[in-house]
Amino acid sequence: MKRVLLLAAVLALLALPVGGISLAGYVRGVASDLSITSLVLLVSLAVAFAGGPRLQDRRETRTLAAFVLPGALFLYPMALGLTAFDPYALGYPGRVQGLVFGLAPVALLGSLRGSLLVPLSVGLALAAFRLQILDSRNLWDYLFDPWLVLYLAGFTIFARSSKSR
Amino acid sequence: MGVGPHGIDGRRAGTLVSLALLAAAFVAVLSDDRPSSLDPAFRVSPSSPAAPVGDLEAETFLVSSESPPSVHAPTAVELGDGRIRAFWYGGSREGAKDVTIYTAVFDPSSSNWGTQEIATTRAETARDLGRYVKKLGNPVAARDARGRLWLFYVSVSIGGWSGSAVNFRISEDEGATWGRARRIVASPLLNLGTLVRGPAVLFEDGTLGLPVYHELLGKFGELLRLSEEGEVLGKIRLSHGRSSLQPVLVPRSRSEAVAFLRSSGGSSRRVLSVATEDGGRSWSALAPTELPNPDAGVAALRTSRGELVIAFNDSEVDRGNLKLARSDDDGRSFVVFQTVSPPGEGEPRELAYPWLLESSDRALHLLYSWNRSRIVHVRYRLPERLP
Repeated sequence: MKRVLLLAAVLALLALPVGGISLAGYVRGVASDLSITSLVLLVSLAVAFAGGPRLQDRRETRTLAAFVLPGALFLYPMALGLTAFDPYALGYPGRVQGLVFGLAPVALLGSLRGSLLVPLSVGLALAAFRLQILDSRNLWDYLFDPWLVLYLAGFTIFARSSKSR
Repeated sequence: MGVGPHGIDGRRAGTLVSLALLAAAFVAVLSDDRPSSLDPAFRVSPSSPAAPVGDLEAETFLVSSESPPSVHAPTAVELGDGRIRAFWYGGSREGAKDVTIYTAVFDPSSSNWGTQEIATTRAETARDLGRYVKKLGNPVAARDARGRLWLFYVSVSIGGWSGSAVNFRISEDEGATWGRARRIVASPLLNLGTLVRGPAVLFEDGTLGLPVYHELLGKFGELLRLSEEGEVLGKIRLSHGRSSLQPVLVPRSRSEAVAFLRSSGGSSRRVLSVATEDGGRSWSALAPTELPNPDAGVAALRTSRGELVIAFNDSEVDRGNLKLARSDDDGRSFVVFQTVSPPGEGEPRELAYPWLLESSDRALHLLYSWNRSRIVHVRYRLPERLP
């Protein structure tokens, strides 16, 4: 119960307006919006923290990393202007079908590997994209964001080094 | 992690629920009624052929007041009644927290600029977006097929201009009042590094083409396709790499257009250009034109007579002069026909960030920032044919 109250207090604090913008607005200004997958991870962490079931374990995180990290390696360098081809453009409504079809095997493969978070994140990301929940109209931004990539990269490196020791 | 029998059942149920959700989401996204193929046709006005030569009469006006001391990046559109509304940013210095987007209206019948007013502020933008905004930058004004005014403008929440994002507000009453500010997401990296400077183009399906450029690691131009509600429907790269900024598009027909870009960071000291022949679906490789470029923005348009006019700094090193040139072959060759005279002489001397506009009374309007301290407007009476 104490932990639930603590979470509620943190959320209330983030909603606190300072100079016309909430504290969360300052974080948002600098950190930009989180992807749906990041939100799913945060919620699952919060649920576990509050004493609920734990959805995320090392195996889940590993499976997630196996999809997100190659995706980031594919997307970011070219999105920054390295090539004339721009994979980020494939995430906008005008050309999104290819990416949506590409996600089907990702979600199924994740599911076959016993992951709950991968199909859940893909499903929620697609639903949120359809409902235009984020500022972005680009499906990539619903799937992952640089903070998630950093977290998963850190996790992968750390898991490797602790295994090799 | 559930290890007992209940845990495993819970997990299996979770997997089933997530797969059901997934299937529903796929159906929802694929049945989306947002346009999935964008009509690649520029909206162009029919042009009448050019006729005999004449002289250009120029009248010069000051648009901005003495205060604020630092102003830059003018943009303007013609209103429904033939007046011209300009926007620019101004503050104590470029990048300061007090930088505000100003606006003023020019009445061509009395040849007078009205008093400058505030169009939008940093605080207002932060409140509308629900996020911290550190400073404001370049505005770009546009008028859509329905006669609404769009004000696109750059904001930065973190870092310098490479941390920029583009926002917009829409006005239904010629700029008297404005709707809520909204943010355009054009980069997956925290939406950092997208700016605007060149005018928007219209497509026949009512969508807007907004030329933008990126300045985070790479330096390149892109064309965003916006729905009538301002949703990004797609984007296409005009250039890539680390050498070009601030694209300005000039359509010639439904399918053909040329874009001029500022040269920045590369080895070329020329105005750069790219061209499309399929309504902007694909663009040629970046190529230098014969015009020099001191890492400075250019302006270009096609007049109602079909001539392509460009405003540029005729130098590889500084912005000390500003000239107008025309091209009869879509940017392959140019003829300089006018050198712009600033309202005063002496040092410093910088004529920068030109903006061109042709009004329905067949006058050519040039706006530029003079020594970053005043926005200057020059009205040229267009002769039947440019010299």
